[in-house]
Amino acid sequence: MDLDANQLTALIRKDPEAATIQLIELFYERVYAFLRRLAYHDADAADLTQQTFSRIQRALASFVGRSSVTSWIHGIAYHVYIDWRRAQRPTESRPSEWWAECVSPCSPPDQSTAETDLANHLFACVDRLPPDLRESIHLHYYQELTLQETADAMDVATSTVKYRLRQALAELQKQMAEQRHPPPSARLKTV
Amino acid sequence: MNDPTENDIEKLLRNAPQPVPPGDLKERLIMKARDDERRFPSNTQISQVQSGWLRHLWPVLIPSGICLFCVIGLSVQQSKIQSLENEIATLRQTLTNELNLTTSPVNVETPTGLATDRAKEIAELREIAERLKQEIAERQKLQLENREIQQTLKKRSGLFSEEIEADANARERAQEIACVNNMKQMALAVLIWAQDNESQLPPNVICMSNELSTTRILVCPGDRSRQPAPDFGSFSMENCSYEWFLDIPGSIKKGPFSMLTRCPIHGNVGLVDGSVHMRIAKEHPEWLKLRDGKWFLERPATQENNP
Repeated sequence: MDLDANQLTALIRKDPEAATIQLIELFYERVYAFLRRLAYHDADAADLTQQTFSRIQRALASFVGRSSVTSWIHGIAYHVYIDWRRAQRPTESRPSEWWAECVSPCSPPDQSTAETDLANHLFACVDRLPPDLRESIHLHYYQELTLQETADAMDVATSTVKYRLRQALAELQKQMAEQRHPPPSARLKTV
Repeated sequence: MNDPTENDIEKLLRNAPQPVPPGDLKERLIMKARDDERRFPSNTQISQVQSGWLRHLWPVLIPSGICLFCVIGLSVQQSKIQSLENEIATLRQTLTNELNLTTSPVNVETPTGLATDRAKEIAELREIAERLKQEIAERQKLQLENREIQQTLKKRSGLFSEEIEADANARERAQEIACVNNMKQMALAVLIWAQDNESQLPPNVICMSNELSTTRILVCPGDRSRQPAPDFGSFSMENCSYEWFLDIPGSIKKGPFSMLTRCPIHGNVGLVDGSVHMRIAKEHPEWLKLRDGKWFLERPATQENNP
């Protein structure tokens, strides 16, 4: 269920606290998932989620419905993450087993191990992408935002988002191909 | 297995696993939101206004405010310039006036010109005063001559002083009786007018022109300072010797002793009942009483039967 911008505006005027609670109920899972995929630990993701909703509560009065509620909330979450990343300067990389621990609700039971491995490998490749490309992938594919919503959340033009996604997909394809068919120099090194 | 295509990658990305949030995260978020709302109540109404019209209109409001400020400044400057121009014009005018004065002081109406006019007037008045003094002196001279001539005439007529005195008294008595006669006629005219006008007193003398036979009866024979009017068309109170008490409107039935006319020379008093009482105003002024704005003749009880 999504909340219309007009409905949210009306609710904010009527009862700001109720509006905040409704936003939490509707979006806390998606916001947490977005931040969890970007951050490295559950605790960090929970903290960032809390910061995101605090900022949403403070910014409720400034919401005038010029963008969708989803893109507005993801925009705030994205900026909270950016601030956190700049402050923390995380250097450690995500353990590759994390994606294996996450069980996809869409994955059928008879999904082959090869496909699962491929998916985990792809997600690891996404994590290694440059920040702009990576965050575009997160918002557009993982969070299922439209191009326009992604652009609104990242404060960039839609064409920029399209370019970044195209670049990211090409890079991922290249990395996947390299993984499956390593260059001779790499093979020699491994031998 | 072949290399994954772009579509495969997109499909895999869209089916990425969803991290599950901790169980108490929702409660924590809600509690924190409520706590924050209690500690820092949101000012959505004010912010709404600010973020509403003010936020949308500030690009228009600021230039319009600047324009308004400029317009006010320009108008103030214009008014100052106008007042300064007026001051310059007045100063120029006074300067030209002063220059004209130095060249021809008589042309312009200035304080010096006024002084000369006043001096002229004073000189004229002095001349008139001198002329009047001369006239007075001439009159006094004529009066003296007149007396001397009268004395010589008396001596020549051969009458004694007692006879002359008796003659004067008789003449005066005749004038007095003629005055009473005039007043009788006037009272009669008032009564006739009142009969035709619901017993009301006439408002003035002119309106009784039909009732009065002639304008000569309105001049006392003893009054040498007045002349009778040739007709009622040219009549004014200057041609009347008697005092009339008609200015207070009222009914003739107010009382028989209400005073109607009075002769200031002989002191005769005429009442509204038509009677005339000789020398009352001179000899017994205390009998005339003013009540409710009207004069009444009230004789003492001892005099009631002796008119």
